[in-house]
Amino acid sequence: MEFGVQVTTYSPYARVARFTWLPAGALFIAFFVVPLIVLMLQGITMSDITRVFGGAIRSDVWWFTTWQALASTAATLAVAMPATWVIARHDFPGRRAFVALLTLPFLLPTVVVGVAFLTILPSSLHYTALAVVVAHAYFNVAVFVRVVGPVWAGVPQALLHAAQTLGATPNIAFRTVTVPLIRRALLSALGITFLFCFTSYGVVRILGGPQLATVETEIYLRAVGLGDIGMAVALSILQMVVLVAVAIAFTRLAGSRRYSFGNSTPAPKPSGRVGVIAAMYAALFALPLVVVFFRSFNVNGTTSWSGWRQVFTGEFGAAVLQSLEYAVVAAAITIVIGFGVAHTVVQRNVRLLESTTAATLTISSVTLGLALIVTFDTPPFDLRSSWLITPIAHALVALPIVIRTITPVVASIPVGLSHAAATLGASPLRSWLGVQWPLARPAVLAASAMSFAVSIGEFGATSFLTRRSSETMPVAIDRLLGRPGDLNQLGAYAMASILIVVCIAAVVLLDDRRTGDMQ
Amino acid sequence: MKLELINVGVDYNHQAFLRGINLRVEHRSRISLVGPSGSGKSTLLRVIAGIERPAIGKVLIDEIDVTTTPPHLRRVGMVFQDNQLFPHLSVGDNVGYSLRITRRADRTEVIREMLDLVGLSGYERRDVNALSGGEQKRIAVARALAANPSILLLDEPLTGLDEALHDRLLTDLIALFERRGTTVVHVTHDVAEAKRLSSRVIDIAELVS
Repeated sequence: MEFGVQVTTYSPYARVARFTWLPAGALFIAFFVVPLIVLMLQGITMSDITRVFGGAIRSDVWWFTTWQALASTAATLAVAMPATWVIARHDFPGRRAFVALLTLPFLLPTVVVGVAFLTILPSSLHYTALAVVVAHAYFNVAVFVRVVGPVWAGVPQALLHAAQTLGATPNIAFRTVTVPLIRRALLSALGITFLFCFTSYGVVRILGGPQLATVETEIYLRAVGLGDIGMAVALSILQMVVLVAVAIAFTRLAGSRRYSFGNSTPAPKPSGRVGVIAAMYAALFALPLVVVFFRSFNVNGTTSWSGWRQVFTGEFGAAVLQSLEYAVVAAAITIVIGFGVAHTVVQRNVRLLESTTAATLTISSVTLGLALIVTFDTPPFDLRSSWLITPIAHALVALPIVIRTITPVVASIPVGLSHAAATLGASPLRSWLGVQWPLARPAVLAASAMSFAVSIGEFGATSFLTRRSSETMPVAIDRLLGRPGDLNQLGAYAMASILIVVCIAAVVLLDDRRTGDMQ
Repeated sequence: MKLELINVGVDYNHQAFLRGINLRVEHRSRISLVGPSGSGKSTLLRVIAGIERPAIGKVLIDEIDVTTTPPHLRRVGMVFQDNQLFPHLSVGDNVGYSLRITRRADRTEVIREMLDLVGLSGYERRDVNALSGGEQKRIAVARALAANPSILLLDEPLTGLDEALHDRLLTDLIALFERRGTTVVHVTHDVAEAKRLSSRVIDIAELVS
């Protein structure tokens, strides 16, 4: 006869972790799930749907949205692959800074990317599809660098050598060995890029001008410009259906097969030649940012600091302060509830929580903004005039990133440390403050910076939620660019420069070595 | 095929690592290089395969200078210490990799023949990741032989296998090379293995001037 023996490892936080996810759950249900349900149930009627298909929407909106997303994805692939190869397979001085520079555009507010390309592209290309595609490629190279790069770096060089001793040229070895091994990551990056380009809003608003409309800009135009909420809702829902279908298709295509190569891969070899390629990419990627800063004090060849003066003291200062206020509140919300979720995920091993909160990534921020104003427009839940609704929306957008930054670090803190603290007489709280928190702090700092950057640059949801009196920087930039006058232009570029600096700080904190996996 | 290394020197991190290597391997002969870890045995095999380029000296195959010839044009096969089987391909596709590149029409037959040769008939559709260590080694040998190399390089081919498997595989390999008349350069730290496999056993320390 056998006796089952159950061993339970002591964890001082297991009981608390049962509840730490609750704030996140409450926020998620109240401001994401409920608004989406309300959007679907209340906002849409059969006549709206028939109007969408019956020619009320310009037929070229869907067509342009789709083909520009396809072209942008192809352009991103073409620009990103050489850069990803350089990063994944080589070592050179300044490699980390190079990765950070290529990651930076992805964190930049879409409005800033739009403004940057307005500046460097010749005016004949303004408000053209080409400008939109180029800006999308600049924006999304980071997806390939971050998603494909690590997988590509893990493909053992010896495997390629084996292929070459069997008669494969370097090109054939790439096609028959490297590509199949990075296929899954490659398809993920392609899928993510396509979805981002399909739902692109800020870039299209700024670079597409009034002529080019995507589904996203059309939703905004219908809801805010024409007051046709029914049509905006119908479009949002149809777009959601398309996005979910595309996401499922890419996930199916990518399959679930992963390859693990252990630690067999040697460190990338130093190479001077790729250093030159990296320098060229670095120059191209830094150019738009430098030009934005230059334009913030230079108009038609004359130097003027009036834009910066306005930012700190005058009319635009209100938008700067408003953005900072929202960003601080959004970062505080995401960190508190993100840390709670991370604790539950790690202590109770509830992986489902991570994927559930990631659901906010599957809907566009314009749809989120629309859902929030449709839901919270009647007393006692009339939150449209509440200042809290905007940072809450920002927190929802930033939450998946924050959770993914904090959770691996919390998970990597050896459980033995809290055992050691307990045997030395530390209470759970004391051990948390003395052991867990100091080890997790760098990741929390990085996540705060990310959340801050996401909030300060958020444009899609914000353009629905803010009013003239509570404008954020991206919304003000968009408005100022549409108005004549040098001061407006200088102010827009000065604010774009501030957003760039915030994003650089976030990237630097994110790449901090201390935020890496502890094990 | 005759292989010759003339005064070969290899640098590592811009510093001289191996110098003055002279070696001659006759057609259909088998030689073993022995020496401790880090003595440069594997590096020398990589130079012969074309994976590493020597800093000085020449590599000749059949009197032709191949020092700067890339690996895919050398017809030098290699069995790697850790096999380096392609994890995304089946056993059959691993063995037939070189045949697919050259678009050989008799690919299926050659794969079958090679699998028979290494005692793994019928393994074509199996997943390489699910094979035992000994089976993976046999597949690595079959894959290298399917390319019909003029010289076969074996880099510590039996390291890490248990004793019984090591002995059985060594016996099988010797019989296989005898039957096919394969020219072999083998490196190991195991002198007994070297003596059984090759007619000539050279200590790498003696090669380095």
